Amino acid sequence: MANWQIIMIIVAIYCAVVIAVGVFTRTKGQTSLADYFVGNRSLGAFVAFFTYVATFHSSFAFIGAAGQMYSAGIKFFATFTSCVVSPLMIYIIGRPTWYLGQKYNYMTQGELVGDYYESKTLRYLVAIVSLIFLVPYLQSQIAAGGIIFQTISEGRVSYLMGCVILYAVIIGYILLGGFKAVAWTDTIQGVLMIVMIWIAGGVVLVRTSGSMNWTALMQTMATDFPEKVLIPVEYWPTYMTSFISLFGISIYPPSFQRFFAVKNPKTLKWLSVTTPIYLIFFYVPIMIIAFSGVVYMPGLEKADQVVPMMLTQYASPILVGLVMAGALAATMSSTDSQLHSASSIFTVDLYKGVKPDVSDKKALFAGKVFIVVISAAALVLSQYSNALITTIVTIALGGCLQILPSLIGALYWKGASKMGAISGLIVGVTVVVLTQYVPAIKTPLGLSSGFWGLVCNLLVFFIVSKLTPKPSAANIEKFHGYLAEVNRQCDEKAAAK
Amino acid sequence: MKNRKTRRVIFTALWVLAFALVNYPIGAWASTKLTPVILGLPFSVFYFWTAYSLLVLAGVLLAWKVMRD
Repeated sequence: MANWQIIMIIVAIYCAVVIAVGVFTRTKGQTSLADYFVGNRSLGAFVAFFTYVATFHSSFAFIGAAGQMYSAGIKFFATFTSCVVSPLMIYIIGRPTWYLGQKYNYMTQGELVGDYYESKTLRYLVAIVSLIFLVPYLQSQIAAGGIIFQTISEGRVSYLMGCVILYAVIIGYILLGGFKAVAWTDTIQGVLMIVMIWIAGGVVLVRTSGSMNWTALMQTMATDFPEKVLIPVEYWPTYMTSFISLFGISIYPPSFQRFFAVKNPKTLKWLSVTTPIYLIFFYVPIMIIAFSGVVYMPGLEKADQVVPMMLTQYASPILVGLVMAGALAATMSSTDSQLHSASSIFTVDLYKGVKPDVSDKKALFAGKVFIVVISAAALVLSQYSNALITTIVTIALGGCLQILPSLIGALYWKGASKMGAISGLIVGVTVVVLTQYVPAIKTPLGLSSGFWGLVCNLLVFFIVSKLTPKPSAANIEKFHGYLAEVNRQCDEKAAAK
Repeated sequence: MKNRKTRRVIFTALWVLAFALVNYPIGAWASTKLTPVILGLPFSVFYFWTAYSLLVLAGVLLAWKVMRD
């Protein structure tokens, strides 16, 4: 049997397993919206951890990160800062969000901020911004799936067909199992990803250097490619601010939805400390594969192909199959969460917003139809983009980051106003788009578009909030009063201990 | 309560210190050095892995000593 056939069989078995998870996690009988979209708020620490890191870690980590390290070396370390810093946001934003979600049954960001600012316009705006910036990320994931299938089949499965296979498998298990299927497949995928990337890193190192010792590889890098193991001084402004844009990871709707789904705030605390450990460890083998690629497979036309190309060259077909299943897992675990999140935004914020009296059954059906439609749109778009996965991801996260100020108002700042939140969000998103796509003002001073958007957003949010009416006193009490009471009780409990 | 406030200051300061290690100017200084080679890694690479590990550790301490729940 040819190598590509062995690899494809392993990948096919993996796809069958995740669809089976969808079947087994299916709720019998009537499914409620809370069940389908936030798993009845019952996620424990183990599943929550893996679904969060797997959602966080997409093909961007498996394929895009290696591509970045292959082409730009350790400049990619800048994103590590976000891996370490943004999980703290899980606690800062996630904890109060969990309490409010539990108390008032929120399932989306739009619902929460719309209720606080007493504004349906803001609710729709947050939903639309989230959906707009979900699509490019979704598109990049489907594109990554296409690259993986094309590479492992040695071109026998076309890029388009690869994208379609990924699309079909994911749609299958999401439609069957909803949030529980997403969370459990993420768990399987999260384990598979970390195990397989470490094995892959080890095998590539042994096959290229002759041992598990990376000294020779690193010496070659330092001697022949010093620019890849140094960070030039002019890169520092970008380096120091890129993590701010990547704060968007915690605000990104699929990640944010986990804040509503966990069963208690302690789980969030666990998430905020364990996530960075997983994330940092993930990139050690990625660096080894990327640097081995620089030395032993220079001049790749598409840097994003370095992982699949190195593996097909240096590893056994069974291992390639398993690692590529890991890469697919990375892609699927993010895509499924994005699709599921998009569906919840459409259903809860837009459909139920317009038709508040519609039954759960009808709303769910609309949500499922939306999953098929939006993923088809992303599938079509994935055929027309040549941008590096990392670039697409940065834009998407920078865009979603613009929701942060309105959330800060709802969770921490009583002085925030509806008009402040709306105008800040509009200005922030406009600046992200302009500083990303208009050549004359593209990423000024080398700083990311998400960063510029956030700065302008915060300024407008603050100034307009100072000048316009705040939410009603009852609503401020409903949010800030309740959170203050929760904190007071926590402190009393801690003092009693 | 007073203990919690003191802990918050101490562990936040520790975290900020660890965060400063991966930023300008300390990080910029380290990122231009290929030598000494430590554990087989050029100094720049070794430095960043170590500094990020410290930052993770500071985050864990901050969470456990300061955060509620």
